[in-house]
Amino acid sequence: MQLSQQQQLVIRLGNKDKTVIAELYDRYGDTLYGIILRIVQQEEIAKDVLQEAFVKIWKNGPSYDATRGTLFTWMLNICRNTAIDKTRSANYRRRSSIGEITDHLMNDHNHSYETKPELIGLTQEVNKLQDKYREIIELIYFKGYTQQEVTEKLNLPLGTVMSRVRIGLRELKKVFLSDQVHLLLLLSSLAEQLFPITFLLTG
Amino acid sequence: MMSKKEFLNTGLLEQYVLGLTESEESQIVEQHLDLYPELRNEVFSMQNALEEYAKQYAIATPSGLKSNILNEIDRLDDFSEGGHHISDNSSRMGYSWSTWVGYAALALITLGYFYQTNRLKSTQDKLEYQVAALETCNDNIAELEKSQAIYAFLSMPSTQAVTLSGTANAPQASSWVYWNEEEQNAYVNLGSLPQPPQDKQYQIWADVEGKMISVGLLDEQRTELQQISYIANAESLNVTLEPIGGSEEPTVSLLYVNGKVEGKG
Repeated sequence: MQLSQQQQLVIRLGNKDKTVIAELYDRYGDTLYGIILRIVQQEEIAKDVLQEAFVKIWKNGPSYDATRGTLFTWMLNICRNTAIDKTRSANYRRRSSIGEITDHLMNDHNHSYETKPELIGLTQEVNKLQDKYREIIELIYFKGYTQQEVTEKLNLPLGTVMSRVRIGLRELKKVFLSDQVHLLLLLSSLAEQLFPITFLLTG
Repeated sequence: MMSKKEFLNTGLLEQYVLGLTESEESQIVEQHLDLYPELRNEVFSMQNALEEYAKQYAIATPSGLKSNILNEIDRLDDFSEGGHHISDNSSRMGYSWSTWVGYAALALITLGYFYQTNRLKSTQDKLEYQVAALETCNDNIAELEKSQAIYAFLSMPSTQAVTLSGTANAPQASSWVYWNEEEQNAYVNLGSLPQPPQDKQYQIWADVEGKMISVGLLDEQRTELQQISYIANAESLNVTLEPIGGSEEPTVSLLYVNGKVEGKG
């Protein structure tokens, strides 16, 4: 997504323009839902979490600080925290393996999960990332494990976990961001620093 | 502040990107991002990479959820401009004239609301202050009334001032009791009784037909008159030193001051 489009969304969110919520939902809803489902494992709970999260996104829109990180990251953090809170409430029973959920959904033909064309290329990309890095990033980023919890789950020393996080993210960047895109981002942000008003107006 | 290399070696940047840093660590990262602004690009590019990665796990949301969310947000916001409800027509990006009027009206209402709330708050503050002042006033009046009552009592002709003189235990000490049969009331002025030890306190007794009856436990700390019990037919008043909390019978060897009560006997 182009930077100017993202800025538009941020401005509209900050101005409490309600139409932006529908757009954010269209763009990110499926991605966020997928992550939430991986954490809470149950569809009914995942629906509640996504709804609560979007309401929080709406309410806290004006407090999102674009210099701190991307809009998606901010929204993901809200979703992840809400999901984790739900798992800690009483009467929640965690299912042990994540395989249950994804297998179930992959067999469900109502979900176009398998056939999204843009995803097929991505799956190939991800396989380039070594398992040992992917494993840790998934536990932390998508399931909200702390590094300490990761050491316990994978039976690894904390130092190893931390270094795999670092290297994993570097590798991830290489895999997903081609040089051109990287250069474009760099140029855009440079330009943004020099001509912030222009960007705001031309949107 | 660390050098760029040192900072990158800490791994804090990656933890920040993943949302793992606590507020102090986040602050450290942000300080270094201010110092090395090119590192912000690192943050953004790592987050974008994660976003692309996350997309592969996208699962289609259940139908109906989107409208539930939009409806809830619609309900939440009472300030929505008339008729401007969220629809699925998310391709609209422009602003119409009516939207601006709506926003202007909203701004005015919001301003007005805050102005009113502010006024209300300062009125409330004033009221609270006045109530507190009034309460202090009432306290002062109560104190005054108490003093006036005591003064009036002392001035009564029927009030007898009984001087209690020191014994061998405290030859220089003296106290006074204001004894009133008509009012059935009495006050004691501790006078120059010496400071009692920590575990003891003074107790005052009335001698009634040879029997010693306690009429009060005295608080050495208090400087004003202390009220004690009036007992009829008291022949003398006696102050002894007793353990804290008093005794059933006076410790006669620790008699400090005493005095004779004039009167009908």
